[in-house]
Amino acid sequence: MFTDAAVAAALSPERLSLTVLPTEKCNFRCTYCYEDFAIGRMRAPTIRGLKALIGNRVPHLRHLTLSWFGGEPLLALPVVMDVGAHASSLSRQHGVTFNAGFTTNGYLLTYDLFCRLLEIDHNEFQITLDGDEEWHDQTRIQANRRGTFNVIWKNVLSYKRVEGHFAITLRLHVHRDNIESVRRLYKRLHDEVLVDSRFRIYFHKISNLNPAERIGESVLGTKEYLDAIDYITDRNSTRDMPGVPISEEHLQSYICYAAKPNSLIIRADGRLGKCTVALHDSRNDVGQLNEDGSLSIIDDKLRPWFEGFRDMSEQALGCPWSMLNTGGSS
Amino acid sequence: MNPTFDKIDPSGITVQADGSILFNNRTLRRAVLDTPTDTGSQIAADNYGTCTNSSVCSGTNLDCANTGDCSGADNLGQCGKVIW
Repeated sequence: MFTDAAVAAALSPERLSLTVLPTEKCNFRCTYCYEDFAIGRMRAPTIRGLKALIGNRVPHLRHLTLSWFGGEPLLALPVVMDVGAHASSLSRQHGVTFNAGFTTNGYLLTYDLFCRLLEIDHNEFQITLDGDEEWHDQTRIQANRRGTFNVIWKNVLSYKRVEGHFAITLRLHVHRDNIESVRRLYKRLHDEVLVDSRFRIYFHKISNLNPAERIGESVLGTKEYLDAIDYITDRNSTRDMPGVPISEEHLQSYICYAAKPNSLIIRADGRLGKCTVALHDSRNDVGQLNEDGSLSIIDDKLRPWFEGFRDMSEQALGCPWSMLNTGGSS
Repeated sequence: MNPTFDKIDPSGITVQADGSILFNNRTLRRAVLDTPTDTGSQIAADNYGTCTNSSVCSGTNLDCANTGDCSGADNLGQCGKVIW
């Protein structure tokens, strides 16, 4: 059952959520990744279009959310700083609530860069770890095959020295083979990081998004996964983070950004999309951002993403992409 | 739930060239605009933003990780974002 507030927020013309891919290249080659890294850094006409879109919309909004995604968004830092500062400044001018953050691998997010991003009101970060060094460095590797754990860990610890508000979600990937490794990592996080309430944990079950890779054999069933979370946390997760969903299995009445009319993905080449998983499916190409900030929307391709509202289907609103694949709406 | 939200015709919702949203159903548009979306009871999907609660936080108060009396200055802060 969805709350009125959740439905209204999903439909509100006074809200705009933009998930921006400033580059679709990545410095990592995670063994389970579904992206192909084919599209490089956002070019000037698309950047102009994005800034114009924000400039046109902000005076009519109450809330603007900018979520940087990729590829690795911090590989395109000039784009992030240019567009992010523009959005932050305009939102302040017009009294619009502004939230901005990153889905990043954390490798490039040094203490100094972290502070620079806070200065432009970008203060939400999701950083993924696949376990402690033993497992993380097998799956979340650089393009040159080298491990990444120690650099990310050093970066994460450094943020504790930063004053002010930010929110870091450490997403811990879990699969059949890394449970002991994640348990060791959780203990370390519990002792060294979670003492700071600006950090939180979010577990995520590795899914088989790239069938060509061996990870498919290690995907956990739902019960096994929930048991694993209990084991990893010694059943302490609800005490440590009361009232906070700790995994995708704990989300209730969740409306995915892809189902919301006020949410769009802006790809590095200016294509408009709805879902960050379905990047290679033409049903996700719902239009184009133009250099003047206008949108060329393909209505017939956009509307199916909203179908869940027809009967308030929890499944279709929680993951419209899954419903498009099965051909149903509820 | 507001009965206007029970069944919504998606074909009556259009994203326009300027990025704005057009509703064919004016009753729906009015209901959307009249419904507060900044309350402390937003669902996890919208679990982000600056926490400005001013009353008692509870387990259902998913806007914020805080618990207890949220009116104190030491119990305000940034909310986490859990959408992925």
